[in-house]
Amino acid sequence: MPLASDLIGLGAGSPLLAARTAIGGTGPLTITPAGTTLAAGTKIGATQFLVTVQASVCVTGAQALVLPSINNGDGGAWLADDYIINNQGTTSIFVFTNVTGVGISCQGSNNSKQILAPHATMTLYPVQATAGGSTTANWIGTVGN
Amino acid sequence: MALSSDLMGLGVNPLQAARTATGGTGPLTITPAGTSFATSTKIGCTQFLVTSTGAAGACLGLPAIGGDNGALIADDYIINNQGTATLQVFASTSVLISVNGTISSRVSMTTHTTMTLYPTTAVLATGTANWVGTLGN
Repeated sequence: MPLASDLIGLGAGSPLLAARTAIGGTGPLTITPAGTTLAAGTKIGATQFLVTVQASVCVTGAQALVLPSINNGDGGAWLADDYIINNQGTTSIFVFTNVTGVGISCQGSNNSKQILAPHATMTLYPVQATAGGSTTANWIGTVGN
Repeated sequence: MALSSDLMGLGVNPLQAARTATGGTGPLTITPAGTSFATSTKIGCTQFLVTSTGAAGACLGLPAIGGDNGALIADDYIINNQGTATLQVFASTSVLISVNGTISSRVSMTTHTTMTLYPTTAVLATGTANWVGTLGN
């Protein structure tokens, strides 16, 4: 299930349907992290479902990506969307939720920031539209080697 | 989302079904061969889910990226090894895979592990992976 543009070419019913069902969404597939904090991080687009940080743009001090808000209409992630993030760099990157206090249940913790080591890939799914308290994650997922 | 034949039965056109079914067109089983990309068994461009029962040292080759007979950007390929020996998965010459904490043109898969791979760039750049993914237990 490639990019939305491929699905449209194959006869998908509508561009909106294609954008939400393609594994890669609308792309782009490459992304450049920025800063080391939620405020400074590069925002992942709502339909940017597969992104890789290439080595040439991954440096210390420019390491943060930020997940979309959840259920924020066309500009946000929908429940059960899947976001895949890869790090090709030599430096770990940080993946933040869009709001402090919104957690990611992953890698053995529930935290608003998760660390992705070089040449590892993270898959995340939003499962709650409203933060359910400090112990309830809005995002869940897995990090593989 | 099943095999393409299942989606076609549900009303999806054949081309779209082949590219959107999790299993693609199948077949779901594959027999690895050889010791290099050149001699390996090639995974079909719409053979998105395969499980291997191959012998020691045997290899699978990933599709080329692009075109009707190749992988499309952001396709997802799932490879399982249920054999009794380690399986080698090769990309074509000079094409790299970012997975399992390293970047290489070859990935070793131990018994009863599964790897998911996605092509992310159609044009090779030095030191940049065309394929990214995850190798789980």
